[in-house]
Amino acid sequence: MSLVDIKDLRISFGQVPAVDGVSLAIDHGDRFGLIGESGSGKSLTALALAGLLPEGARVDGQILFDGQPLPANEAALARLRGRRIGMVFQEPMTALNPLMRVGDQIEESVALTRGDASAGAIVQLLQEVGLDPSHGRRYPHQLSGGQRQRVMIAIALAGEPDLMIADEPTSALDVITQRTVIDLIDTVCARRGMTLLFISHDIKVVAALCDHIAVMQQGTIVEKGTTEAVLNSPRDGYTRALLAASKIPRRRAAVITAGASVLDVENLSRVYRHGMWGRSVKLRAVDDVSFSLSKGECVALVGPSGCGKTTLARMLVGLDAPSSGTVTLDGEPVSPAKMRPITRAKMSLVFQDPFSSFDPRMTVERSVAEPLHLLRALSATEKAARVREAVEAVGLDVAVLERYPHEFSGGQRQRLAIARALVTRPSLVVLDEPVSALDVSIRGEVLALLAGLQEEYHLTYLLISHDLDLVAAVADRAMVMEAGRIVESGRPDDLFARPRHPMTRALADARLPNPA
Amino acid sequence: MIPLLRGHPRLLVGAGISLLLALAGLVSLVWTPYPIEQVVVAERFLGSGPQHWLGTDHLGRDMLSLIMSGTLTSFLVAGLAAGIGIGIGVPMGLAAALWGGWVEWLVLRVSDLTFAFPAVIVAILIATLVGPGESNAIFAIGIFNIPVFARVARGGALTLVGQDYVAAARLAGRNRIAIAWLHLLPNIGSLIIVQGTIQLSLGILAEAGLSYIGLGTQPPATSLGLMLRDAQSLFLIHPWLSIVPGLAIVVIVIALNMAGDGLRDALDPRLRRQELGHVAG
Amino acid sequence: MTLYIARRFLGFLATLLIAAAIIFVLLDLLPGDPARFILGINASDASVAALRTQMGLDAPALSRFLSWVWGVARGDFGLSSTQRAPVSELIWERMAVTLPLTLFAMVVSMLVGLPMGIIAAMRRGKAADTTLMVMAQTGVAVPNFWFGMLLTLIFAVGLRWLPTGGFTPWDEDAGAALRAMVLPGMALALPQAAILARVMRTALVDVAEQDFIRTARAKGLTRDQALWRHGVRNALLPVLTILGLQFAFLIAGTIIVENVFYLPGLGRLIFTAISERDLVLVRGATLVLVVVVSATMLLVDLGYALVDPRLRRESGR
Repeated sequence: MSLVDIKDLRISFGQVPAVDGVSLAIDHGDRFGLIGESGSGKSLTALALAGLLPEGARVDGQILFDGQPLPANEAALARLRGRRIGMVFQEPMTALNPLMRVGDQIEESVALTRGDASAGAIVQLLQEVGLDPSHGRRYPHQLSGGQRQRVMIAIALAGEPDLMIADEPTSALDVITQRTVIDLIDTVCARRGMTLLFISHDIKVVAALCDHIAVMQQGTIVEKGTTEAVLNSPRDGYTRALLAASKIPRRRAAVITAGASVLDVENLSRVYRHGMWGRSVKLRAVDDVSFSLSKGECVALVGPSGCGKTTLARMLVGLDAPSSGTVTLDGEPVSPAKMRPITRAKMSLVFQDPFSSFDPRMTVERSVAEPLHLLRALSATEKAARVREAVEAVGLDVAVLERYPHEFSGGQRQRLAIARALVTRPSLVVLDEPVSALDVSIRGEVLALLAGLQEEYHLTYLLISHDLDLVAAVADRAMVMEAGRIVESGRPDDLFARPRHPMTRALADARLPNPA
Repeated sequence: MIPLLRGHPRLLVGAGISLLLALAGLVSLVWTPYPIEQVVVAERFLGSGPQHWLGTDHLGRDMLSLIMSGTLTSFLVAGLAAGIGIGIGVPMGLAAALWGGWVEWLVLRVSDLTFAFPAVIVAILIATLVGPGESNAIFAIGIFNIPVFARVARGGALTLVGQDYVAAARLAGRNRIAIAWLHLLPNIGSLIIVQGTIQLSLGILAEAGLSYIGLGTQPPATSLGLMLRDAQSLFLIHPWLSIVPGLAIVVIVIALNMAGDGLRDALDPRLRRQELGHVAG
Repeated sequence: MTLYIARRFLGFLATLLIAAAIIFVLLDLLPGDPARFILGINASDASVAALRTQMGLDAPALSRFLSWVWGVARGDFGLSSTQRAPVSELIWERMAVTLPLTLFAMVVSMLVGLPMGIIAAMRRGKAADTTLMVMAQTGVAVPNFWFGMLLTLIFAVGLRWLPTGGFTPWDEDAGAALRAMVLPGMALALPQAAILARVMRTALVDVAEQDFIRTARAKGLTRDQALWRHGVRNALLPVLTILGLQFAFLIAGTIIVENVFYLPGLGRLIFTAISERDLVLVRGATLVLVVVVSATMLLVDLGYALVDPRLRRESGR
């Protein structure tokens, strides 16, 4: 008998079906991976299993847990959740009560499920998830994202559950932390013989962890089977597309003209001060960084979160002022205060999140045209022509310009963001995680578009990314950053194959094997 | 506008009644059933009847006429006070969010300081200096509105300045004032409108209180609070004179609050997105 | 933590100093010659000069301000020119009515409003929620002084349970003094309770949608248990801000409601002072009000630090 048996599950909100006839069975001890893009219904399926669907959801179909249907009354359901199902969610920041010490939150869970909550039990749980007993006295905000996710796992383990449901538990974490959390889930499942339902949009993570896979698309399961079968001989077109998209085609290496540097960065530092009244602590977000970019090059900047990548990028494009050091673009100084509009026009930035990079109250045309404000010499007709040209260059029809951002998908918005970045015909484009917020199936198109544009317009790219596979495929050169300094740089293939600096090694080790 | 109203019955009812009452107030400028200054001692303390729908007061004046005129005063005072709050508070809040640093510090401290002066205290100070009056009430309530709008504008703007489109606008060479005008103001507009409706209803209550204690509207002008003040010494014998203007205030304020709540539901897509956000994925 | 308290306390003192300066400028400098202002246009030059000397108006403005502030810091608010008594004594006497009334109203409004809001949020969308929120929607719209009139009509005139107004000092008959507070206290408290109920409901509904409530339910708590154990405390944070503002509203409200019930509170003192142009008294009374309001704000901020560990770290380092 299966531990979980879901038959023809349907979940809808009002008239809109969100899960449309899902059936799946998870055997005792299985590690079941549920893959799908955002909105595919994978999280809702898991929440239905724990009886945690948001109010207003209509549920049809049958869910059997260990042969028994889910109890209808909330108190019995709560007992089942506490004792037999452990859950780990995506956002470790918001998933813990901010006003309570994490030890107390673990204790509550132990007390609810076992009746007694001895201090020993809590210490044991903390140690099992790789935390120090002293961490129990801290509040959630005093822990890092990875540590919080470990606390979540400890809470989930408190009831000694039969099933652990992990809903995108690593997608809010950086690469290195992601790997350690995956390894931790792997270890505790093995040690306790626990069944795992792992939900993710990332096929690599699921492949590394699970022995069974189901692929969801628009509320239905399009393919399921053992991991090996699904990955090696996918039958469904969507699964094949997902697999293909996770392999990034290599870009041709750029032909670099020696000496023609576009951007020069010299001894750049940015220091933040915390505290007050002489007790200030200096934080060197960027610490004495120097490098240059040649015309036509694509250089990647990699590093764990908080290493200073974003601060560096913001200084390079003149959004933040450096504490010391200089940035020059084509020989002109870059600084927020005294930059000529014409210099500003020569560089642009493509943001990570295509949803927040457009003003929701402005037509796309006005947003894309906004940088043309820098080129005062252009007439209105010339400006309109520039906007049309940029939008066509990213493969969109000019008719879309009258619309508002919410009418576009994530991929289309990212194309528009690229159009906006190109509208002033810049020489340098900084790409800040340009595809990481996009669904896997459209990352490929956007990357291909960026590669094509680079050749066509002789652009220089500075790519900020945490995805080493992406960096290895598209970058001519990679720079590894740690604690505000560039610690190592070189050709990505050499760098990750033979890392010299510990940080490079940590990043390379955190890489998950490619599934296909 | 029409489809906005259709899905939100609270907004429809609230805004409908508010507009109707405001209109009745406006009509009082050109026409009232009886002239409000007409004192007919023989006809005082009349109950509700076909001649005087809402009866007459202790001077024989028509209550309906007084209510119409008083409603106008209430809306006028509260509206102008909200205007003062928006006109000064919103730019303050936007400046605080955009410049940060000492500007933000200053705005927050000024807000704190202003919160320490409730409208009654400001009204007392002004009344001591120049005597009571309508403009006294407008000023006192307006001052109290300033930090309210400053906080709302700052809070709204702070969630926006972290958005990438504001960074994009800076990259496009827009200065802070242009960013505030082009990107922030349109996006916090609905917040300001909702808060404005709330402050309007609070202003009407505050005006009534100030006039009731004699710091606001003065005769021969009339306001709902002033009617209550006139009825004060008689209310044990003639409660009707107090009940009518009081009910008028209650109806106006309920209508405005319903409109405000409805507007918030209708305009604030964050509430809806939040609910959807739980569904997505 | 201590640094946070110290900083907030310094901010409080700074607010008071600036507030005092504003009041001083408005009442002592703007009228031109306060002595002339107090005595009226028809007073003889000699009597104006005499009053000037008596009030110490010949000194420069800054030193007058400083000596006033210094006096206030020691509890000396000056001498009322009309009542011929120390202002501090007059205010203190009236505060014995105003402060207990405000506190009584505050407590009642919390006892009524917070549970209403919590119940409504927990029964969201159900009949109890709708009923409570219709009550709150009405309560918010009722002017407190008018509500006082209605209460008098019902409970004093109709049922004859409580006095219509007036006040017996505490030391003469504490029971009678307390009875005199009931109706005005209710008149003040219930509209505020309606506001609190709405704020509490909104805050708890917001919190209910947060991830950590889902975590709590995943641990094995029912929805109601999760809201009760984890939701209410988090929802109290926004409510705390409103509580601070509410105290200011209530203090201002007592000044108005006193009129309905003929209570000898601070409001009556101030109105007499205004009509008699007693600048020294108005100056002292308004400053006391500002002090009380700011002190509540300070308490709210300290309360925040007590409830929210994030605040303690941010500033305590």
